[in-house]
Amino acid sequence: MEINKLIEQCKVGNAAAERELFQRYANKVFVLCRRYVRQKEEAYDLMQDCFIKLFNSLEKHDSNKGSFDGWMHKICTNLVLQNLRKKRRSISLTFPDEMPEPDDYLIQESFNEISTELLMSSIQELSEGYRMILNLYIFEGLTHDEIGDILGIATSTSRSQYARAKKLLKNKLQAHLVINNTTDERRLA
Amino acid sequence: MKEDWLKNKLNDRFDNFDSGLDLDQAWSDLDAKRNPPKKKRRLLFFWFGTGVVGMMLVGLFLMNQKKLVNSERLILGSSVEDSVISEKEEEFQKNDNINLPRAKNKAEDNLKEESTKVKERRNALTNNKKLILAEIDDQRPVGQDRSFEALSKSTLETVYTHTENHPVTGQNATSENEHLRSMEGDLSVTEFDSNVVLKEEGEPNKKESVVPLQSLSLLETLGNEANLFNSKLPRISIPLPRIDKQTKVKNKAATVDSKKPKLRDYYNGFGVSVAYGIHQRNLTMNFDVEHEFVEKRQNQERPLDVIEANAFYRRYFNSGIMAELGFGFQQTNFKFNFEETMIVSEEVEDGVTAIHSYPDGTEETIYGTVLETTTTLREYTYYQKYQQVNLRGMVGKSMRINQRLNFGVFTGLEYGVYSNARGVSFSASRDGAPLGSLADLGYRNVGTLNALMRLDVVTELGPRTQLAFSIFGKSMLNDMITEHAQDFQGQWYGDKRNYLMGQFSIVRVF
Repeated sequence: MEINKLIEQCKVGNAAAERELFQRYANKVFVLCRRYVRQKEEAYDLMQDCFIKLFNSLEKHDSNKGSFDGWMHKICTNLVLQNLRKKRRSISLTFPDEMPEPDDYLIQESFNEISTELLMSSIQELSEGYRMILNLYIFEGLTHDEIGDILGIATSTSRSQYARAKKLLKNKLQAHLVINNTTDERRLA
Repeated sequence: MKEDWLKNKLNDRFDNFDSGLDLDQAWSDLDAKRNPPKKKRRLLFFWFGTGVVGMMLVGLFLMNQKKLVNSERLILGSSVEDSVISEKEEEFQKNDNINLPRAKNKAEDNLKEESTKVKERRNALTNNKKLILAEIDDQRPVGQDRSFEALSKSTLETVYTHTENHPVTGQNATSENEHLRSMEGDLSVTEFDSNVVLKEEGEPNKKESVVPLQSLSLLETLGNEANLFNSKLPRISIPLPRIDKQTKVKNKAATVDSKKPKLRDYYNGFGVSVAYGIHQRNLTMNFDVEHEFVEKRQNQERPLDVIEANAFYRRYFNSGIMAELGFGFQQTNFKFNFEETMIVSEEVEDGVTAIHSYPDGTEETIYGTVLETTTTLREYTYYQKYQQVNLRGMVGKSMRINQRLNFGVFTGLEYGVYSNARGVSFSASRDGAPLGSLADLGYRNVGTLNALMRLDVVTELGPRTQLAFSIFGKSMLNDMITEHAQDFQGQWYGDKRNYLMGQFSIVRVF
């Protein structure tokens, strides 16, 4: 069924349509939630909250103003951020000691060897501040100005924190690649 | 463009990522969450209880009003001389230790009791109607038909006269009769010297018999019987004198029960109050380090004030004991001031990374990308408003200080339900960064139990109106837990509050 028809059916309370909508987008929303929180269970709860809010807000959705995907994405992101704010009143930015420069070439060349699950866990391992900025910039496609507004930080802070988050993520991925390569070399030996 | 490759690759990867979610199970869980088995009915019970109490109060009020109206029709307009009222007023004032209502009202109540006695007498006599009819028959002159049927064919008219003013004679009696007939159906509480005139139909004046009535009992009996058989009798009118409020009929003072007036068992009062004061609270929590923000709150907050508005019903008992039931609205205000240090770092490309010193004394500055760290001090100021509705019950004791002042001591319990946290407001922090809504704290429909203590000084504004100033304290018996207790098991915080207020109240007593 076309998405707009599906949404119309959901608006009139068609349970089957709601289920279909859920099955279509549950995975996407769940992945979104997992990127923001470390615990899988917490992400699962968040996903359910997102769908409750989505179903409750469907009346407000106007297909002429934009795609459902974008609208849904925005609602879910807002809810996740709201939830994170609820637990903490301010974004805690952490500043680890000097990090080594990652080997971009190595990571880029070997990126396909890295599983998505590993990417996910690497993102989740970032501290909350880094994780949020990275998510908002990379996956939500926001500018640093917008991120600064949302998180209540300066634009320059968002920019520098993003740079550090990215560096940290690369280091994590590189470490994993090095370990894997070493293991492979040992196997060969 | 080095950044782009990571961004693009991550997006590509996660766009098609299958998280392995069990969709059926997830849908079942979602369905269960969307349709919980039963909603908490705490608030529902509260409003239901409040409604029931309110209806009872209104019903009680209306019942009292009805009684009052009836008694006024029967009694209040009767001929109680002013001197009698004054006399009774003095007696009441001697005995009255609750100060309200005034003696005049109690004199009315006393008369009301008399009315009740008369009614009882009338009912008793109604039950013995045959006996009374026989008595009437016995007093009928010889020659008249003694059967009941004959009586029904006759016209029975009663003439009341006040012995000293209206002797029953000829036309005078008829005139009086006409006057009284217009007021038939009412009942007098006083005794009259009366005559019953029996007339044969068609011969109104020739066979006139006068039956003296020595007591009210017979008079009432006739009235009852006349009403009872009204359908059979063409004209049986037993006009009993009704004395309207406007009609002054002088009775002897002796006709009013001279017994010492009795107080009513209780009186009802309805009132409103406003209170304003200060408060203080103790936070309790078991948060871990992640909730440092909350832990600091107790030192950061400044309790401002609390305001209350209540409506209440009060019952006054003769012993001076009072019971009070009320409900109202309360708002508690807080102000928060606190500072937070934000450490912000920024990469600067042209920063000084090192300075080399050479043996010849020259120095070389090496520029490169450096991390510059700045520390920002944020100052927050915001306000909280906690709004709630309360239902309270209190008992108290009244003591007379002097003719004008009473002193009252009350104690009781109050159950308060916080309305949704929408009542919480805040202002943005001073550096312009938005602060999360405090609605997130989750004070929703939280019930609190308070212990109350109140000291009243009461004076009268009028015969039925009291004005009181009170010192009013209350203390929470339970913690006010936030919904964190539900969302995050094992993590909770709550608070206990104490209040001290000054209160003005005004009560109308019925």
